[in-house]
Order: sequence, then C-alpha cells, then structure tokens
Amino acid sequence: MGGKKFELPTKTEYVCQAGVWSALGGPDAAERDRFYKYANWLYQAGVFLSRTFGGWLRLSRRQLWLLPAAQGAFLVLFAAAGASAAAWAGLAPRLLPFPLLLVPAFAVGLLGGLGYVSTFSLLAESVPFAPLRQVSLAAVSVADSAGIALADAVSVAVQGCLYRAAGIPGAAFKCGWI
Amino acid sequence: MALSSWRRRRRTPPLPPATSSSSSPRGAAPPAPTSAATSPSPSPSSTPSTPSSTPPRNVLAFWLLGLANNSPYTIALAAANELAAGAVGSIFFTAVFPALLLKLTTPFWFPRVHVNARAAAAALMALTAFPLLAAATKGIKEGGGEGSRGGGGGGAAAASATSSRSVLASIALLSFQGGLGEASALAAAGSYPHPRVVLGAWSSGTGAAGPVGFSFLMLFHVFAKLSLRATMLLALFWPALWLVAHFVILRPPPPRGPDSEEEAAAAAAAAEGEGAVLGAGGGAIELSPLSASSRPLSAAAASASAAAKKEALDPEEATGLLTPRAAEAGEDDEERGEARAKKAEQGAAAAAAAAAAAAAPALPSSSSVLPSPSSSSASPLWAATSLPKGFLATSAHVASLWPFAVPLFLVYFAGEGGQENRPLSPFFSSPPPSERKKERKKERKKEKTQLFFGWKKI
Repeated sequence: MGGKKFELPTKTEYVCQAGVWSALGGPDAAERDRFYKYANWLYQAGVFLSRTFGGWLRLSRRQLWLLPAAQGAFLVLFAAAGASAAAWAGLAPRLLPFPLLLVPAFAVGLLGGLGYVSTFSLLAESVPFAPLRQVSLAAVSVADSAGIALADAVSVAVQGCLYRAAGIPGAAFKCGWI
Repeated sequence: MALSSWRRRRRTPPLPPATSSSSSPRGAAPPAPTSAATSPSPSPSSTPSTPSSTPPRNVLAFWLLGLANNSPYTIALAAANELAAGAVGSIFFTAVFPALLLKLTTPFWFPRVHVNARAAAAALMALTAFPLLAAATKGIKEGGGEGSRGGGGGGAAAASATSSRSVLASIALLSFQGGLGEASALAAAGSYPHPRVVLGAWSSGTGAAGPVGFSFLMLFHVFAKLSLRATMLLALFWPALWLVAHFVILRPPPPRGPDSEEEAAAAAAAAEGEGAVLGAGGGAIELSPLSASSRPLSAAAASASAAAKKEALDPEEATGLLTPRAAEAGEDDEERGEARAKKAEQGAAAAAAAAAAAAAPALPSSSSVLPSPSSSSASPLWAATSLPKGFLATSAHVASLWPFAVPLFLVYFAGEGGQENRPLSPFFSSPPPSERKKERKKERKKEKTQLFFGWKKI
C-alpha cells in the first residue's frame, strides 16, 4: 500500500525523531508518534505565520535577544514534561496533559520564525552602506546554519537523556558513557 | 519604555513613508564596481520602478525565491532518509555543514561576483543534484532489490554503498545550493530600497517551503504513486522556478539614479568640512573616507572593534557612556590616556564617516526606526561607509555583527532545535497512523473474540 514505502528500519526511526518532542505524548509509541506529528505540523505553521507577518512587528535589538530567552523557557518546559512523564505513578501527565503542550509547540514555531525575519530586517536597516549591507546580510546567515547544526547535535543528546529518564528504549544516544 | 516604543513602532505601517531621497544611502554617482557587481540585472534601463515603494512583482519574486530555495532541500532530505536509511547521522552532517562552510566564505567573495552568477550557480547545483539522486534511486533498487526493502532496510543500505555515496554527494550539493541561494538572495534583498519588505517576502517563502515540500512529495510520491526516481526528476521544477523568479520576475533595484547626485555632493561637502578626503571626484569607491584613512589606524581598529563590540548592544547607552569616560580619562592612568589618544585619532575618520552618513540618509525607514547608531564616535563597524578591505578587516566586520548573529544562532538551539530544516522526517519515519490504527483495531477485535469464546484466560 501507499504507506509501505515509508517504512524505515527501526534504528533510523529513533535517530530521525531526535529532540524533546519525541519523548512526549505518552507511554505508547504510537501516542508519541502522533504527538510528534501534530507538534511538528503546528511548529511549521507557526514558523510560516511569523516568517510571513513577523516583519510588521519591527522588533528592536533588545527584543531580539528576548526571543532565545523565551525559547529557553519553552525548552525547559518541554524537558520537564518529558522527564516527569513516568514520574509519580503517572500523575505528572495528568497535571499537564500532552495535548496542552501543542500550544507551546506552536509558540516555539512562532518565536523561531520571528527571530529569523526580525534579525535580517533589523540588520538591513542598521547598515547604512548598501554594499556593506549586502555582505552583512549574507554573513549573518551563517548563524542560521550554525544554530541548526548545534541544535541537531544537542537534540540527540537531550533525547537520549529524556528517553533514559522515561524508560523508553531505542535512543541513539544513551545519555551516559556506558 | 521598551514596550511603549515597541507599540509605537508596531503602529507604523510596514511600508515606510515615501521620501524623495530613498534610492541610495551614499551617493556614489557613477556606478562603482561593487554596486555594479550586486545589481541583479544587466539591463538597468528597463526599470522605471519608483523608489518610494516596492513593486509587487519583486515581492512575489522574493517569495518564490524563498520557496524555491528551501523546497529542494526538504524534499531531498526526506528522499535520502528513504534511500540511505542506514546513514542518517552522516546525512544530517552532510546536509548542514556544506552550507555552513559556504556561508562563512561569502563576505570575502560576494562583492566580487555578480548576483546573477551566484543565482545561476545555486540553480546549477540543484539541477545536478536531483538527477544524481534519481540515479541513486535506481542503483538502490537494483542493488537491494524490492524484496529486501520490505523486511530489513539494513541489507538494502549495505548492498548499495556506491549509490548511498551518491546520495550523500547530492545532499551535499543541495546543502551548498541552499546556503548559496539563501546568502545570495539575502544579499540581493539588501540592495533594494525597502529591504524589510523584500526580506519579509523571502522569509515567508522559506517558511512555506516545509509544508509545500511535504505536499509535493505527498502529491506525487504517495497519491500519484510515482516512483521516488520520477519524483526526484519532477523536483527539478524547483531550480527552474528559482531561475524564473530571479531572471524573469525579479526586477533589479533602482539604480543610484540622478537624484542621488545631489546627495553625493552634499556628502562630499560635509566630509570636506570635517577635513577628510572624499574621493567622489574619480567615482572610485576605493577613495571613500574610511578606507583612505584607516590604513595608518590599523592598530586603533582593533580597539575600535572591541569598543564597538562592547557598545554595540545599545547605542543609546553607548552615547551616554562615552562622554563621562572621556571626561575622566585625564585623571586616569596611562593606559586610559593611550586609549583616549587612539580614540581621538580614530575620531577624525569616524567623524568623517558619521558626517557622510548623516548627510546622506541611510535608509528611508531607518531614520525613523533606529536611534542612529552612527552618530557616536565609537560607531559599530557595520555603520562604516566602505567595504572592509582584506581578510582581517572583513573578519572584524563579520565579528562585529554578533548582536544580530547570536540571537539568530540561539533561537534554534534553545527552541525545538533541528526541526527547522527537516520537517519531513517525522512524517516519513513511521507507518502512517491509519495503518497502525487498523492493526490495533484488528488486534483488539481478535482479543475480544478470544475473550468471548474463552480461549484466553485473564
């Protein structure tokens, strides 16, 4: 059938689903898959919305620095939810049900897209000399790639630790040296 | 205060008010070599575009550029996950680092290469990579066989080492393409009179690339049941779209036209008033004030960049801090005095630059939005009015951009991390939920019948 084409070896599956969100959703692997899927769709929608309309906000440079701080707060929230998923005899997920976590997933996408468009718009308006502006815009895009590279590496590590805390098998990184 | 100013800014319309002198920040009347190298079209005669607003076709072009630049990457990543299934780690390594390395080199060669050449090179990379991917598909099908793909993917991946290598090569090519295309389009956006508008269009297109790339694969590979090979060949649509958007739809930015000659004269007069030499006569950009006077001040340049780094975050604070520091310098020890001397020495160049920048309005919108960071004597390097020359100066300029680069860098790290550029992998990593649900339903039904007939003891 149509779905057969997308079947992958199990090991790949877990490496693909690196990141905190892959540890959320519930004890069942299918539930986690579903949460991951919805969270990613909402994340993509948030990125698209804020990359489209974020330029209207005209953030200042200080407000630009607030965005990663807010993202850090969200990361802590997700990590706490993932780490406590198996804690207190299953009480923790009932205090903060997983569908509720889709709202911050959407917000994370909004903030990420806002960071992209605001950085480049503000930079373009900060550099008065046109040829230097062009060079600067191209140069700052390095931070985009570097951030993604580092985030990829970190997400694998975080996923390993969360999987270990929640007792989920199959992480590529086992959160430890053994 | 910050919030109120934000609100005030938010009310302002996205399009800055039309000012008469918006086309060029610094009036180098004859097209200098750098500006000639960055105007996207060889025919500036076909552009009667008004400088007061951005033509809709340019907005559309930048949106399509963003879409066409990022879609190949997302599509190829999903395909690669299906093809070289054993090597996901190296796939992500190959997908990220070529773009990173290429973007690192851009400040050194972008001013010398025409934007048309850059755009054509990016398209050529994608035009090469997709046939390569299609060929790799064929190799995998022949090597692994249809049967082994259903059961154990490891066998298929091991049997096709060469094609998996070409999968990696095409991923690397597409990473180069994405990085080059992004850097080039961002640079091109900087040459338009309203960069916020075209940059918004560009980033909107890149934001749409994830869902659109996913829909592309769903449409052709899943619903139309085309082979992965055919889908990869169909993906050549994206570099074609990129070429059309850049060479057909996009109009070049308005040239630094005749009305900017007055600004050039004004800037020259202002700079001469400060006692600096402005090389506007020959029309050569090499003679602009900073580059002419910065050679003997190369030692001071380091301290200037350090000061710029320190004070780059808040120019308002910087201007407030500078005066008391200068007043105290007389009472301070020798080091302070030396630093002050350097600052004063450098002040001549900075004053000329600031005067020139003040004489020619930097950008139509920036005068109302920004607190004019170039007015202080320790202006950041990015407020310079000439391109940095040489490796060290260019690197110092790039480093001085850290107040913009660090938030952009951290937004991914602190956020969900890594899902930015691989939105498709989660959708392709496991069987679709419908199938899974069916299986579970079947199991439950079986269990129920077993319970009903008493086969299974609880």
